[in-house]
Amino acid sequence: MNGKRPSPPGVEGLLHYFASLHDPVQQGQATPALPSEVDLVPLMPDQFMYALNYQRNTLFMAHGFARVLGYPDHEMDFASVFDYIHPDDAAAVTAIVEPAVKQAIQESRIVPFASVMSVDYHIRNANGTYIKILRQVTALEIEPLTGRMISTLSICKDISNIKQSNVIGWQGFGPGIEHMDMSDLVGSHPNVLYRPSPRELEILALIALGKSSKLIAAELDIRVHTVNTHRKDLLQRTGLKNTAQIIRQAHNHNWH
Amino acid sequence: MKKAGDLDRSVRSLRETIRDLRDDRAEQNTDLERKLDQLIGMMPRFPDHFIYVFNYGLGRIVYHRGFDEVLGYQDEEVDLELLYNTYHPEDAPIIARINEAAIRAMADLRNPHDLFSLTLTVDYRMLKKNGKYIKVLRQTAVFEIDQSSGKVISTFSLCKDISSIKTSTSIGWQIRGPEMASVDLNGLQDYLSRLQYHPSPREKEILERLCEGKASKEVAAAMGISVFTVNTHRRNLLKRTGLKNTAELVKRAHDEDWI
Repeated sequence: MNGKRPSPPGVEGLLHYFASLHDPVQQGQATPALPSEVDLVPLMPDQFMYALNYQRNTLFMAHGFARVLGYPDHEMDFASVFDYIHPDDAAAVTAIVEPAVKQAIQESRIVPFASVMSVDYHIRNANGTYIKILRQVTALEIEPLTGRMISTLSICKDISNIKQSNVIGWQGFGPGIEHMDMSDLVGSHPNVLYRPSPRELEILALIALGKSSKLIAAELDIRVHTVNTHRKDLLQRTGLKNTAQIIRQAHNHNWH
Repeated sequence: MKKAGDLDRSVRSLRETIRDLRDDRAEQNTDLERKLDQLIGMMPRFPDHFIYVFNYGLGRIVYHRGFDEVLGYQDEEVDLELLYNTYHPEDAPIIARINEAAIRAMADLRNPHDLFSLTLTVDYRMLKKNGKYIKVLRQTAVFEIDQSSGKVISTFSLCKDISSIKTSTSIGWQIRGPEMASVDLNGLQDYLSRLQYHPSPREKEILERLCEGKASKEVAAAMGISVFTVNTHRRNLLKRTGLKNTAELVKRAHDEDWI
């Protein structure tokens, strides 16, 4: 713990920097150099953050790595933030984060600091042990004309004492992310916390009302067969035994 | 917090600051407003975040944002009572004790050199206005320090909905920061680990019989073990929970649904 940061933080420079990112003249051009004030961003002692440019595949800001993980901030690059992910988690994390990033790059609905994706996983620290982190990713720079995302800001927090389970959870909030259907993309990873697809949610809601497969099929205008396939999939993916357990889980996990 | 004059002054200026912020009168800059501005402006607040500043002296929330978006409560509804009422009944007693311990540790800090000298992270279930519970991760840090006494006046809490990240109902907590060395964390850690102590199946069996009012001798006979073993379990239970006597143990067993 080297808490040698001066107080109070001189944040004007950084505010100016963030403002410049949204300045149309600057956008799409070379990213301006970060002011030294980036060291003064009020990060909590168990937080670190970094910014990635997806047009050039570069990491252009890293802060707090030394304190939380033991890596000097200036040694971090685009590849290392991925390389340090635990091998058991890496594929699932990629399956969760990549589609969101791809969608953000291709579409124009992403809003910096309003569209955010959260995911948790294990990351290796300098002494070779793994800690559990919660990572929140948002868009940082947007191309003014196309609305496409150029770069992301990730804020990570050590949650080793908060969550002990190896299961990976994720959630998206805000424009362009909230209603992304990722169930197919992440469904195949066994260590990802299962979340039903929008269609499955529809069916779940009707099951919770006590409706039979036949009634559900009629209501959604699909075949009884299809409804039953969804129900079978739900049981298989959640690892639960029966419909009652699914209803309970849907309630406990706020599936709606 | 005994220097009433200092406190009054900071309270007044904080009130003014918050009023200024709400009125958006930028020309009436004070140090406090700058602090609020710096912190709240600089920390990206995502749509699943809500924040509040709690003033110890006043015993109330003096600044908050995001409760409407995340929990569905209107600005004017938000106060300490609402906050405590939204804790899940199973989590509430534990959170109350963690809060108390953390507040004690933070109040012991003198002249912390950094905004985040000591931070508490804890997670628990909170009731939304619509009647559903969400899992919230709260990060609390020292926010305001009385310049003359060097004491902590208020704390800042940043909360995030982690319902889809952590589905287990267990409560996790951690305290971090450069000032960790200057507070007695051993006591705090012991305190909290005792709070969260879960008896073993064997200990539960014994507790169950103690709750029925049985003596060690009767417990031993019923379980087919020696009186010495029963008494060792009882001693361990008291040590591990930090409780004083069997009466307290029986009460805790009922409160925490151990049996």
